[in-house]
Amino acid sequence: MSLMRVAVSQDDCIASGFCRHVAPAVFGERSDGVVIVSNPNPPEELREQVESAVAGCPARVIRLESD
Amino acid sequence: MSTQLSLIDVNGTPTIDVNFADPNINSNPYELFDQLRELGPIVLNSPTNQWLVASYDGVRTVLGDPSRFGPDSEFFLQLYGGYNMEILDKPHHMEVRGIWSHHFERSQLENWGSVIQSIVDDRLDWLIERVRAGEVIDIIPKVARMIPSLVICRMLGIPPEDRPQVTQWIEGMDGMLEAQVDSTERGDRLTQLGIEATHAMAGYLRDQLRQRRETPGEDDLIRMLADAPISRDMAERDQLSSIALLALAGHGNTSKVLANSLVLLAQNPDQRRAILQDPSLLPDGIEEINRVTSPVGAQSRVVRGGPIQIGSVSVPDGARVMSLLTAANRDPARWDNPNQFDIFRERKQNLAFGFGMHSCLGINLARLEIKIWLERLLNRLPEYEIVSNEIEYGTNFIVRGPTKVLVSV
Repeated sequence: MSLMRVAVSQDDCIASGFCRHVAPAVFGERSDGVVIVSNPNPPEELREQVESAVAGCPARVIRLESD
Repeated sequence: MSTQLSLIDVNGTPTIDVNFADPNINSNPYELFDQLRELGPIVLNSPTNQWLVASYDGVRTVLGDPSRFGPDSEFFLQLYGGYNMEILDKPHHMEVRGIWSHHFERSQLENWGSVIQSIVDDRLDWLIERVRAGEVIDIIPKVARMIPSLVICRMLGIPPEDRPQVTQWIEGMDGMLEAQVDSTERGDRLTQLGIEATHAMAGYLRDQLRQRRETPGEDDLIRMLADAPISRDMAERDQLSSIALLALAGHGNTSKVLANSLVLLAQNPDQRRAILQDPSLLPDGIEEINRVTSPVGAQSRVVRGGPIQIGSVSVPDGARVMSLLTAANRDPARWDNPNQFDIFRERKQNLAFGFGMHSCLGINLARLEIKIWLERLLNRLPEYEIVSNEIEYGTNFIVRGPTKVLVSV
């Protein structure tokens, strides 16, 4: 059973809010709108949401690694 | 050319008097931007009654706080004839944006690479035949403006025979954007022409949308809206304005960057050579081209939820605040020698595509078009030259870039 690890590059984030929209249980926001990873090891059933966030991020700042 | 900004203090409000429609400013606004930043975090421009923010941190703050800096509905309703993503708030904003967000994902756009390349190559065929026969060609009308137009119209499913008319309406609407910072009679005329163009475009798009609903066919951006369940809850004028936004956004800004990329590489021959020798430098090079070009000169927002304190200045509720993206991308607080084009500088996020919930949906389409344009140009016409003392920048500060670039070999 693989474990997902989600990381972001906050410096490059342009705060579009897309990731929060498609994966609200995994991504939150700072006061300036920049992404925070509220759940860096999300459960497997959220994989599709996380992959959608990775693909849809306009600034390409989300990394998904699986063990 | 240097204009000394004079600051007037009007009841404690730092106030200036600048006409952004002045072509001298548009061709070289960078000293003005430096002066604006030195005057403080925000200044009021009296001719347009707009509050200007020219620093990187300032623009990020404004664009990152939609609860206090809300959409400029008054202006954009006039421009588009209805509500669309540009002026919608949460949660409706993301629902509408979601109609097309899959199409604009980077991995999805890669499927369009060969279509974009064939469009670029076709325009390069036209250019190369002429310059290699000894002609000097302005690349703006038939190359830099046409490429993004052909791409977005193709994605929208606009029949090729209608594209020239659609492009003309887009230009009318661009004029209304230009008039945002032009408080003279000329601005009024541009606005009037823009309103006519918007109405004509809406009529055309109404027919297109009806056609998609009545007749099955290939997927395109208009059909995606026609088929989206959410569109059933949208007023017709909002559906039409949403499509018009895609058409408008996909035309002007990218064309300015395509044109300016040619200029920047010609003006910086060592970096041009470096990219020719090592194409892996292109992605960072494109980000630097975007930073330096930054075609969207200003994004407007309206203060809501009461007056807001910015530094020592109290900005009133309802005030129109202009985030100067081009200026923010030249902020020395963030970049050393910011006016220097340098593809080798440390890569840092810039504001060319905006920031926050309204940041550019087409960001990866723009990057892909620029990449394919430069790859094909440098491959097929590496010896191009420009007539550097004849570059013009026109009068449009809001969709800003070269309006004339003469190319030869």
